[in-house]
Amino acid sequence: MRSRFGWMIVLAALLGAWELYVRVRGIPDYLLPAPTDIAATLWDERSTLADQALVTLREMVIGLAAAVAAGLGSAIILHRSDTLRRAVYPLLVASQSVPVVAVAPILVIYLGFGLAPKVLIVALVCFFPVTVATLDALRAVDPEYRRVMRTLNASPRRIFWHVEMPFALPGAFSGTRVAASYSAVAALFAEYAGGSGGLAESMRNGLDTPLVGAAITLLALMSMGLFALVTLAERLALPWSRHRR
Amino acid sequence: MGAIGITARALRHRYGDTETLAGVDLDVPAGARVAVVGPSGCGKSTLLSIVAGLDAPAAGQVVVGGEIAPVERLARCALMPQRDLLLPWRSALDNAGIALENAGRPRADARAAAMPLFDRFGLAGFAGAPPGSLSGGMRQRVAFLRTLLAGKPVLLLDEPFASLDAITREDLQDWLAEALATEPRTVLLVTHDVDEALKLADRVVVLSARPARVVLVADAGSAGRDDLLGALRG
Repeated sequence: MRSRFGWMIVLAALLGAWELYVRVRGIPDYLLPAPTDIAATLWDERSTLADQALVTLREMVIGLAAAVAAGLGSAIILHRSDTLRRAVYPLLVASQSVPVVAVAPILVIYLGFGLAPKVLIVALVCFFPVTVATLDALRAVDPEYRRVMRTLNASPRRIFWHVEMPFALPGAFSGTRVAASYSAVAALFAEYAGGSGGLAESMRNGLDTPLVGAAITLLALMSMGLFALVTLAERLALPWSRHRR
Repeated sequence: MGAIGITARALRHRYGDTETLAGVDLDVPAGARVAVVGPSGCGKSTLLSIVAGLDAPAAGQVVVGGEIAPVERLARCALMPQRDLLLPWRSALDNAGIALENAGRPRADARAAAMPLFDRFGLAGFAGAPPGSLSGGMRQRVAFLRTLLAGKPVLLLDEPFASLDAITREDLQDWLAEALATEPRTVLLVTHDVDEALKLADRVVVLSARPARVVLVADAGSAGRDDLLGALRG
């Protein structure tokens, strides 16, 4: 219990030190807003911020869902074909060095200013961790299981779906958790590239730092919420998996 | 299910540059229990894999119940590995019955087939337990029932109790002897423990260190423990 809530104490101490620093040194809020200023802005601008947060959240959730579907699918395909894996996997890794910031405006040009380019950018960012974690987990399954299952009447297809895939699910969930925490920043990149009505709107005016702070706070909360949701889903779906760690 | 025998002639096997089997002959009459004893790493497990049709020998021939083709041998052999390899998301009962589900039978059928064995062999209270909550000895029992429920005429047991402590191992040997007495099968057991071989098998085959050849074949009734140990040490 103590360790479980330790982060609250650390957070409170950090916020306290921050507040104290700003107040004591008299730092102007365009340089660094105090936590209480940010809290006040959060409250004052709550209806605008809530609308923007919902737009951003929608991009995050749809993008993440698409990334999970595509990531699982590619991991399965790459796992089942050695040839394809050798051909595609290095390219997949290399593709990660393409900065999303640079690609985002191009996608906006292709796809317009609607939801599509944002979802696609979030999905592009989130796809990689899901694919890699799932593929690694599939490849890490003890081959001895396959051999024993073959003597226990199991077809290769059955071994895949009833032995390998379940064993890989904790890995897939880890990848999804990482992806969930990336999704917020990805959505923001996308919104910066092409107008949105999302939280990026509140961050564009860099001088209104309390408002920027409020938007960042909401973004962090959404990212953590999504992360927690994935963790919860894993606990519900794979009660056996916690047993083993 | 009619009992079937196993015959292997001049089996050779290499693992990379290492020669593991250097011409091994093996005869397991239908319904017999044969133990293969040998030093660690001499290729005993490989021998089981080859009999089951999971690995191919470099040379030699294996016949299981008159069948030479690996697929046919695979259809007749069930393997119990050294580690239990139970699936953590399935209950003990559903692990035991998995071979029936693999063969396309509904889960209810698999459970109905596994439950009587759980009752009979001292696992009645553990049917619903996840494997992670069971002791090593209990897990091996479940793993053995899983092998039994595959419905194959030949059981290949690969050091089934090597990972257990001495007391649990003795319990399990007695338990297995009893289980095999009521559920007779053709059994090929691999172990490095001469006492285990004498307890469970009616014939013992001693292999040399790698590359393995047969150095002694003896009936468990007539063979002395010392003779076997002597042969094992070369």
